[in-house]
Amino acid sequence: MERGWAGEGSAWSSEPKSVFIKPDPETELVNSSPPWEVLVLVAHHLDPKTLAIASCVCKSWLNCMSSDQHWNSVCSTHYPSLFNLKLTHPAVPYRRLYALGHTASKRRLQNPSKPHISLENLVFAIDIQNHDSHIATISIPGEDLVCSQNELFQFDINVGQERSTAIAVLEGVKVTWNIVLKGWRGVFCVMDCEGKASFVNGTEGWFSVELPPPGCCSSEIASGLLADLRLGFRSGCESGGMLRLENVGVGLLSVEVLNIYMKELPTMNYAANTGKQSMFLERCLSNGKYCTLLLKSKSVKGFEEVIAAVTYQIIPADTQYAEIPIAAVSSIYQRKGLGSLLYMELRKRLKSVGIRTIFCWGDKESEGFWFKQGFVSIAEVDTKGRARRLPIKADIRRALCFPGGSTLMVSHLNNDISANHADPQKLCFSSKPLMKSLSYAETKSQGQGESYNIPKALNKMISRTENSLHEVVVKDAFSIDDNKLDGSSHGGDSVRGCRDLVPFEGVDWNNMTTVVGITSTGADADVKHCSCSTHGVKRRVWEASVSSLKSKKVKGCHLIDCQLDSDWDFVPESDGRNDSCFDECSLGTSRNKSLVEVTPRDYLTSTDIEKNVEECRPVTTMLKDQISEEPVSKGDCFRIMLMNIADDTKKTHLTKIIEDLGGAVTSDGSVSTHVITGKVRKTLNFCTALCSGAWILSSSWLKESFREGRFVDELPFILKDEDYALKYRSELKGAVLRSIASPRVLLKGYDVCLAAHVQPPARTLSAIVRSAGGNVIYRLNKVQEASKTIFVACEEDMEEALLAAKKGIWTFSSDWL
Amino acid sequence: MSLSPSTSKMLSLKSSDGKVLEVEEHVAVLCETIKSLVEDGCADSPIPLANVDGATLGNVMEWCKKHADQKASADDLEDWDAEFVERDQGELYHLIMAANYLNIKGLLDLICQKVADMIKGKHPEKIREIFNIENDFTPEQQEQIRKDNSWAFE
Repeated sequence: MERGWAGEGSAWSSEPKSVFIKPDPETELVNSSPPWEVLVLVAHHLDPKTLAIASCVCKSWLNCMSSDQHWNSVCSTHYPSLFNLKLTHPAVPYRRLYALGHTASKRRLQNPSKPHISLENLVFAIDIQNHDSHIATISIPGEDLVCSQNELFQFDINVGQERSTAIAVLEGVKVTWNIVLKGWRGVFCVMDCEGKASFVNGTEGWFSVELPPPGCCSSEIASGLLADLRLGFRSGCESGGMLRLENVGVGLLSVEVLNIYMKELPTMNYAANTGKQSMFLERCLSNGKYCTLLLKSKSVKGFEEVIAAVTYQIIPADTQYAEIPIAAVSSIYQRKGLGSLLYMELRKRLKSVGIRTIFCWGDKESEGFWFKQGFVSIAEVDTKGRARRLPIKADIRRALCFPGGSTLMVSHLNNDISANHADPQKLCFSSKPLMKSLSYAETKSQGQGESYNIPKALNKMISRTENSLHEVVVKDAFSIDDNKLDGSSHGGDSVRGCRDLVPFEGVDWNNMTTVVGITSTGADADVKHCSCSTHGVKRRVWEASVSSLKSKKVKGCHLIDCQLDSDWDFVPESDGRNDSCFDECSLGTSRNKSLVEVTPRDYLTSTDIEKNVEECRPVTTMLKDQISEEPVSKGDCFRIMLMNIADDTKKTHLTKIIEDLGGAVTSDGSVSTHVITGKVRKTLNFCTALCSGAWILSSSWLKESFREGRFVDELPFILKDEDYALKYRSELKGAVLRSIASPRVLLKGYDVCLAAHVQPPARTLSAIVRSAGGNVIYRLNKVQEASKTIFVACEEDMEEALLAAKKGIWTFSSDWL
Repeated sequence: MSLSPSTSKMLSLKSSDGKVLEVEEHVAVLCETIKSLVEDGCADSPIPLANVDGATLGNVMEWCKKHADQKASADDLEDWDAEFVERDQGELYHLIMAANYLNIKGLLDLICQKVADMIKGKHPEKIREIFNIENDFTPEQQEQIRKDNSWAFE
């Protein structure tokens, strides 16, 4: 038996596959759990996560899987420094050490989640004390809180007799306002201060404290939130002349606006003659009477900043009138036309809700601004806030605020000032979204809510206040450095630039306001910065910005400092793909601007920097809008590539036409802006030109241009190639437009690996790839990130690549992979 | 019948259940344990392998035979290994223990990885089901251990 078996064994050793030896049934371990020896051995092959999960299986697995022997090595590989630390502080098992390190690194990557606290989970606890006696002790659960008017985060609490003590004098009043998270999960002290103000019968005592900044390391950023608390006292006969606390109003409001007013209008916060703080500004913002329209910037650093604000009210007594008590633009953004933009928007909105007359209060500094906006002064108010013979109705007069030492100015909206102050043609952007946004503004305005930047921590409550959100956000896009403009000699130009900015802003606002609508319904206090919903509109914005630049005739060297577009960062509201497009789009633009700086091989070559900004004209015309109606001046920025034209005489003729029109003929696809061809080709030049964002046009464009004596709008003449359309099931037009909108981004961020034997030769391919913004590598082992790498190995692959290139940016993922 | 290269010396391996297997030396020395015995000159009589039963020894030697074959390409071996590990759990455990005892790193890694892959990416409940394990934690212990390792369940 033994020998036989051994014989079998040797037979097996010569024919290994033919023999299969069954395991001995006695030692059969089928369906039995693995013995611990096995577990220990297997555990070495488990990753930390599996190890941790496996330790939850049963006791023996726990013993095996959590032994230091495994975790020791895991820790020393993943967190060597923690591992070393444990050597001196051995209080923690390695398993736990890894868990700590792991959670820490994960937390590092996560954004802290937004706290969501509903009003129902809160209890407001308010103590009002006077010396040693309690004036009132209030605790009121969130669900019983009644939102004060205007749906702001402001609540009026009636203090019943039973809850308050009548007092004779009000000297030092100590006010404490705590918010308790139900179930004693936390108590947050919103306000704890002592007031020195003495209260006159029938008036309100006022306390306000800025909330501490969020987080521990953000000393530079204020919380931007102000807690305010008002005490309403009344002396009742029933209390024998004593004062009795009648109601308490509590609320949180944004002080961002207040900050800008405080900073820019420091004198306004003092009573006209006394030099005492009058809290005029604060009252303007927080007593519910006024709304504020904000212009916000989103800086690269990521936090928003209010850069301009205008506060207004629609006078309740006669809703044809509105008042603007205060307005300010942050000093670093002044003289850039932002004030006008903001006012224009406000004017538009007010007009749409039937306002016919706007009053505003100007002082010596701001008068000039308001004059420019079409206001005329009608009365002076002395430093004590008194005015004589105001030519306005009494009921309106009562509603006005009368800041001391200012001029009352008026503007009648019927006398349209746009004729003076903005090119009417350029104001005609009022498309449908604008109408929507206006009606939105109307509903809000009638509510007369202030602009509140809602406490983020109280996100849920925002749903109540969102209707009063008037946040309009604009980016730092206007950081045109005026110093770089020749102030004196270009004075007229800056004014023009300002006008041009107006329509730009107008466009932008259309979108912004719609976005504001969307974001606030999403109960999101983080109002997204400006974003645009449609391709077309975005283009207009872009174009408008370009046009404003252009009309300034900023010289080439100035252009360097105009970061007009570099900071744009568009947030799309619907389509993820738009996102990337617009990002790229902005990239493209900024590149366009900066081409003057360094990039010699950019989309427009910079040979003529010293020429003026008319370089930007191709962009403008390409974008095809009102601007294109302006005569296109002669600049040699049209680099036209003629393809597929066999006849030499014809070619010479066409070249002449182009040169007559002010363009230039080129044979390098990567620098051309226009390609005239009969059909889609797969040549190097064609591909590079397409990828670099050139127009692919039919020859009729040139004919038309010749007829008109200038380069006409390209859009209708984009080459229609039936073969192409059939073959790739997509219009060339789409691809062209996409690549123009975002030149050199098709392969942006991608490494393209070219194999040694590619056909067409690697050189040709690499030119195409580079023109599409890709990076070329030649060896597979240089591949850094597989998902970002495209390997082009043979002709079939090349076909694919070209196809993707022609289809433009959208399709590369499907076609490449 | 001519056996494999006559130059190769044959070794006798004796399993725990007394079965003797004749194996070419160049195959058997893949087992580090046997290799050291050979080097020490102790391999003349049948080598007793007290911890390996005959069936498992057969399987182990099958693997060694394949991997000792100079002609086999890496791809080939990989495919063959993949087929080789398709066994029931009991056999796998035996193989692991045998490979550990005989100190065959390649085989040990192969089988351990196979078992590890069976565990990987599964929840404890599923692991218990696969390996026929009874959950012997008390609910409190269960909760504690889940809490300790909660990071792994995210």
